Amino acid sequence: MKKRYFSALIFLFCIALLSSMTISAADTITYWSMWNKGEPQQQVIEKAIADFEKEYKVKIDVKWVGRDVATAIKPRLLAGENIDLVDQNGEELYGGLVANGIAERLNDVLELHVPHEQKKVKDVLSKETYSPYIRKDGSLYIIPYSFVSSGFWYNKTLFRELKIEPPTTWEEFLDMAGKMRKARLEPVAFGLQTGVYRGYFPYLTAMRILGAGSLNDAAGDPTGKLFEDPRWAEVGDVIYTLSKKGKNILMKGYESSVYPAPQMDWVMGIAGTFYCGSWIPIETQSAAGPDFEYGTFQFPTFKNGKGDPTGMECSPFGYAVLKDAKNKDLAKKFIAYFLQKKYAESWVYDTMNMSPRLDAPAPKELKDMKEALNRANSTFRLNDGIQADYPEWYADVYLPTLSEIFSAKITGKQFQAKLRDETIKFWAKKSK
Amino acid sequence: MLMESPILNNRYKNFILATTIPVFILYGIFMIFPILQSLYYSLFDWSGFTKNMTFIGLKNYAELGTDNFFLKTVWTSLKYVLYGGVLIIGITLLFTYAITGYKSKRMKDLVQMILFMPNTVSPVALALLWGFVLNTRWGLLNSILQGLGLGFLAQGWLGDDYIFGAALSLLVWIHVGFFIVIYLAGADRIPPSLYEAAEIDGANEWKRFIMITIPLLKDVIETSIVLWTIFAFKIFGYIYAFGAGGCGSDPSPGIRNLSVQLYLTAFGKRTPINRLAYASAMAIILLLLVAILIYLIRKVFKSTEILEY
Repeated sequence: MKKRYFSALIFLFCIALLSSMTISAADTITYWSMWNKGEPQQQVIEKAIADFEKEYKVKIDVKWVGRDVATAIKPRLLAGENIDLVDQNGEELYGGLVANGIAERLNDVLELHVPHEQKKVKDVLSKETYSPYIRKDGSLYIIPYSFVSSGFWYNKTLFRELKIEPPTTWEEFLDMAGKMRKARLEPVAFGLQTGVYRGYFPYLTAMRILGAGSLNDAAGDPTGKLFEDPRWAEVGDVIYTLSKKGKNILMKGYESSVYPAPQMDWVMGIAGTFYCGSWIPIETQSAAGPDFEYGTFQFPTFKNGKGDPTGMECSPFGYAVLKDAKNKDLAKKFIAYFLQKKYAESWVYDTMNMSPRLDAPAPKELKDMKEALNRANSTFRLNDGIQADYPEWYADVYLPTLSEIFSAKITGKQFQAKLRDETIKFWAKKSK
Repeated sequence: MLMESPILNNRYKNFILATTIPVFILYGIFMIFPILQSLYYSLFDWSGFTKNMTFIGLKNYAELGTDNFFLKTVWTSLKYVLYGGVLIIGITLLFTYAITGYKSKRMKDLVQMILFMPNTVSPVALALLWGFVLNTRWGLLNSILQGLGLGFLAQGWLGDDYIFGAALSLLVWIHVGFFIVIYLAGADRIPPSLYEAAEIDGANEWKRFIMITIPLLKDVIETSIVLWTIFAFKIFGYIYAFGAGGCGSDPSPGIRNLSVQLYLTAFGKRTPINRLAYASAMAIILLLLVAILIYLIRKVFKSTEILEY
């Protein structure tokens, strides 16, 4: 009798052992995420992870690391730890993992089928949300599940009251600023001390006047010749016009203004517009109140501008897979899995963000921006990609020069000359 | 008596050895080894993402010599040492003068506690608070100035022209509270008989402070200068959080000390520079600079007589 009990116990133990081994290390994805536990974005991803685990009988070992995920994975990778999947914004993924050659080419993910749908990933995704990230050799290292863009934010009610139409050209923009001044409104809320804000106007002007890729090419040109194009002086002139010594379009005190003051100045109605990313409704809705009518218009165009007048910024948040990861295929499967429509909709409604899926709706606050993207013939990277491709040039040459032109310490021509000279010096130092 | 017995003496030596050797081993592992490792890494071109490192000898050091951005942060760090040192030591001495004059011990403790309190709060929280106080449009400082009819003095404190002073004021505020504890402990050691004798000789309170307290606090002042020099180069949290500018922006170049620049070069975040080996060279320069400065400070103080009582 005792023997029987003992055998039964051994049998049960073996069953338990076997069942625990069914999800082995080979079926486990190690996933490091930029989201923090408790954030709405984390909750949407967590739900998809749970569904994926159930459906495929695998395990996703996820670490909610937060925004410093690219920094956090460094020591783990050096210690030989396996990480399969990482999510972060495109610039950081390209500046970190791709620049160091440790990211897996993800072009094959575009050919995967989205589970429970009769379409491939490439058929459900808007190409504009990732096309600026396709390298010259055709390689793509990021698959987006979200994206942000930017535009001039305005309060539609206020514009109606002032009888202002959202401008499309530089002349209309100046006219709008004049009307706002007459109505005792600051035309544009702005904070020079926040790097993201400082970068917007100069690079967007360059995208309109010189075209996408112009800033990136010029930044990487050791001869400085690309900055000799006189249109760079025009870019400088536009920034000078915005400054206090130009047409004084930027809000008073902008030189010392810092996040979040400008967006609060705008939402409180002190300023008429504010240029920023698509996250603005999330950050300002509590101060704005339920009746606030969010609207956006795109950066104005310039006469004889070489850039695409419909072009707009598109910064994806997405997945990268590590080249030496143990479970690359499974990680790629999860990427396709998360692109299902139900998760895209949840992403839109629960997190108030935009989904790169063509058929995904947009939150009402981001409707104008999504429509602009639908109209856009092309997209470009934030800061034309220089922050990721030439980070030291961006920090050492570009940002300090922008500070000078915004403070009207230099003119448009001096701006052009300074960019050229400092770029030559920068690359000469690097070549030593 | 204890040391006179040879057996006990041997035991005492063994005890000293047994307690100090582990400390030296730990110091070696956690201090000396990482320094040597940094020195080793500084000779390579390396991002820190993979194990692939390219030996480049002293090229990183040569580049540092021509890196205007790095040189600017060295200069900013030295400005923190100099301006911060003068302000912190000066204000701490004034507080020491005021607090030692209090008759009530409770009052002394209370003021000391209030001054020290910022040191118990997270640097990030304090830095953000200071940013709000100095905010041009919404800030408390400009609002007070305007309320007092001194609106003409209100400035854009976080702009390029004032941001170093704004960051320095934060550091001074925090560190005065830290050093006051050391200074008061030093002042409390001074025998009251010296003050009594000076009083009989007709010296007033200020004179007694200048002629007795300050000379007898010389060793404390030296220690505080050494500590501040190290802090000025090493402080990270306050400067990083204060100057970050939000939205993932990096701290303003005008307030970065060597530690902040080193971190941004090694990791970069939104601006992914990722030059870990180059940052290691910065760390070695930081170590050398601090060592040289401390040596000079010690030398200056050694040349002056330390009074004993």
